[in-house]
Amino acid sequence: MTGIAAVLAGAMLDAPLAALLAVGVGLGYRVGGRTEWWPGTAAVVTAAGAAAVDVATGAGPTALLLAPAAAVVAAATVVSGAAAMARWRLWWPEQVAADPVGHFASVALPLVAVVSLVVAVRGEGPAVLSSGSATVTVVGVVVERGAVLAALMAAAVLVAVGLVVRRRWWHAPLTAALQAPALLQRTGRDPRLVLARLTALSVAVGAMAGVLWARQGEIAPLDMVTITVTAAEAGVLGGLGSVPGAFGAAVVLSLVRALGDEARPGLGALGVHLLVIVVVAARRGRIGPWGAAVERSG
Amino acid sequence: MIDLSTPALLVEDFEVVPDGARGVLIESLRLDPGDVVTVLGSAGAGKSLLISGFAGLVPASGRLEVAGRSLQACAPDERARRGLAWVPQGGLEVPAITVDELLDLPRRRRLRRLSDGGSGPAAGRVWRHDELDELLPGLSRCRPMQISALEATERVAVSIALALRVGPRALVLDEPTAGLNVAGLDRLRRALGAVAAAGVAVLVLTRHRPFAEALTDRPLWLNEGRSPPFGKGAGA
Repeated sequence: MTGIAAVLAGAMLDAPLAALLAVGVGLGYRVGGRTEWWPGTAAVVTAAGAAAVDVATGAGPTALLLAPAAAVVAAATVVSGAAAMARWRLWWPEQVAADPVGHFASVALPLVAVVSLVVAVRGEGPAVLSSGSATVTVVGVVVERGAVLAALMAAAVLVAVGLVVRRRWWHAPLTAALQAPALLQRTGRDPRLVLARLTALSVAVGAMAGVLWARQGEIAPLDMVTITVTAAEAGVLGGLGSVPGAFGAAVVLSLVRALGDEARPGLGALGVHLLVIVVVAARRGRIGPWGAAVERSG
Repeated sequence: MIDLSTPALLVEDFEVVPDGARGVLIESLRLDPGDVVTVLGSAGAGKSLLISGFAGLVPASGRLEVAGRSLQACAPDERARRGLAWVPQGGLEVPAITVDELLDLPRRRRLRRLSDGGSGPAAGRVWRHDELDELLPGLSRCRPMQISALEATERVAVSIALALRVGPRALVLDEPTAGLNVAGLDRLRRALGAVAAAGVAVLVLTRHRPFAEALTDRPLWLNEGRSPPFGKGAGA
């Protein structure tokens, strides 16, 4: 009983973090949908998470091949904000922020090459890290205090992001930039800057999730891959860009993963992937009652 | 403060040639603040192309100035900030926001800074919500509605309201009469008259000859994509 309780507690602590990264991916997806190459934008956002893990842990290049792109975009978004405030003309860093995908090759690839070279020369490899924080007992279950704090902070950031994206000053220009950019231009606003703002938020959310995850407990090589996939799946399941949806999906997927792994190591991840595939197929009308509904309406 | 000595809209040797296709040329057109000019053109004459050229949505060459500032080489949003407002045919694209949210999209503080000087004369007066409700009957009823729920005629009204929220010096409209009945045409004529009376230059591109003649004594013609020379100060 205690074992199951510990598994459930672990899943509940994971869920806000997965949801936070899922929101970052979802917001980035909306930018990518506009730039018609969403995987690139989603990769940039998750790379920010990966980069943040590297920074927060101070060792272990877990995602060095992606981190430079995140750093470039994050820096460019900061510059674009400053440029917008100063009413400068659009210049190169701002253009990178507004269209990271279009500038990916010219910016990121040389940096990736340089960083990879540095890593090769220094001879560092991925490391297993632990926050080593003190433990606390919650309802009879022993958990790391750092994990609890990380989960609580992630939940707080989620709520804050959820409140921001509902505000008129945020969602109205963003919706117009995504759905009718020519209309937004008639109001005197540059859709690229609005999208740059969304990119900045998605990168920041991804980075925040990465930092919190790094402080939560153990980080192993390739963890960011697992984390990223889980977050992307939570985003897809909960509706890309939806904060409550991402949180609900993250809770469900974290539970499925934890219980599956408790039954047999590795089964949890398989269960998550299967669940997501089934739900996505059903939504698209491939199987089940949704499929029948699609046929009737068609 | 509107400078009456500076033309609100100045167009010279302005040619729109998208993708090497048939272009539209305006040799000379000047509108002072408060002027109303109508340009008649049959379907396919290039009215929509011309307004796209003004807006910077398609390549164009020549001189285009609003309130003394050149708009060439400016992005569409910069043109709007410099005082050019345009209402394309059909009025509005359809994002999932309400009319009220749409009319709050223009950044008034930034526009006010521009109109106060510093970077020169630019945006004109930004119309308040109550002024718009008075100018465009039925607008207040539309405010809580999603744009997608609006009828075609309501979209034109909302689009004009949006243009006035940006603080234009010159307002260009493409076929604003589409779908309007006699009463609607009369309301539109009076609204545009009031806009002009407030110091905004109004240029209407239409194929509705009675409406054009009701607005101005002598409408200009856009002919088969090649306009005749309008002459210096024509319509002003």
